[in-house]
Amino acid sequence: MIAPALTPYTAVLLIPTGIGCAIGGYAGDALPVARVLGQAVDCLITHPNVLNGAQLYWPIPNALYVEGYALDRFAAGDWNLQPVCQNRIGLILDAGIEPDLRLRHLQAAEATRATLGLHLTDYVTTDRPLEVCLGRSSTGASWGQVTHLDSLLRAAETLLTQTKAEAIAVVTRFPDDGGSEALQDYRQGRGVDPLAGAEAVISHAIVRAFQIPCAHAPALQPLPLDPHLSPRSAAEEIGYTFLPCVLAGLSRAPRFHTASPGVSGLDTAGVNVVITPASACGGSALLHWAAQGKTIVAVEENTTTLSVYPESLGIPVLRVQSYLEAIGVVISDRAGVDAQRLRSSISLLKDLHFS
Amino acid sequence: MNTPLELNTSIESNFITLDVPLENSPLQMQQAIEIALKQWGDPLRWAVMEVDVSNQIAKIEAIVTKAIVTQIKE
Repeated sequence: MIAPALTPYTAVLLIPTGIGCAIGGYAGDALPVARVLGQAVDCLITHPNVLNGAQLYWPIPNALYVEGYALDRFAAGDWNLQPVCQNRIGLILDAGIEPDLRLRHLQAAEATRATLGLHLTDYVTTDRPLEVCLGRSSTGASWGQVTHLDSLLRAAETLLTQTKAEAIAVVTRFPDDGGSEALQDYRQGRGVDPLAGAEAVISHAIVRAFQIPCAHAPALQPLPLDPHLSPRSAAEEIGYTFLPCVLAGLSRAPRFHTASPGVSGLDTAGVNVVITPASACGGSALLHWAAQGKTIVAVEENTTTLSVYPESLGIPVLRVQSYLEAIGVVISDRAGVDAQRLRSSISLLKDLHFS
Repeated sequence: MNTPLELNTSIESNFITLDVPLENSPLQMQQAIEIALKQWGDPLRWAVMEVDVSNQIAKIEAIVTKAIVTQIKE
């Protein structure tokens, strides 16, 4: 048993979306990592890409579901995270969703009210179709844009002023492209999620504008059966919507308070360790945490489409091969033990000869 | 963004790529990237996507936004 710490031991699990992470780049396939890591720490901070499994999710009581833009602001010291018992969730539906698909999403929302007891407010439809465009950069990462971002923000503003929503779930009509190579790769558990970049833009825009928890579920027509579907992608093909996990996550997502003296909540100083894929060390949040001298654990097995290694940016890290090893490092750190002492070799201390 | 978004305002978002010289520390790198991006709009999402060590360049990909008033209200 690890003795209770005087302050909560807090880990951040970063698995960026849209860069083809071998673990976590598909349908909530990093959720097992989060479940185990949650057992090793007092508080686990991670983002929707890690915890969302479309129809599947797992309530991790000590996990904080924090959207990516909010993670950046938290790492920068601008925002604190205030855990809550529950949020009233407002739902925004893209006007571009066809009636049957829209009804599926409303029924999914109603199901979470009846079966999970989630608190949803009345919902809003955007004043025009949002029109999502998908793209991919030369580095292979998924990017995307929303043609009518202002319509999304007006819908959010309406929701917030007319209801008492404390978190926002967005459902946007995404292009159906069942024959694309990118989608076929994704269904086989390889390549990059083609939707990820645009999804991030949607939630980032709302979080930036309103400083409120937000997460997104794409609305798509069901795909034809594929006997070769990868287990990593399967969670997104067992139902009509991706909405349940989003609502479950937002129901207890922490709220964001502007950091200042006397403001309550968890601040970036309370983070003990950050875990990241080794080849994706160029994000804003990680750069902030590196600057703060946080212990950063870089997992080599979680390959991505990128080659942004920590050494190239002057970020000191502990390199490990797997998440199993990373969790061992975290437990060692929490126990106050140098993780290197769990290995068979030990070198002697050296005289620095500084004179 | 704390002011009401009127129907005559649109949000323009652009995907951009930038080369930013590598800095001596992660904090300086983060700040240099933000400054460079703000010349193009309000940064919404960005990351270093490639590092050219020989030329000491960080290649950034980003989405930036600008609010555009599409008609003048009387």
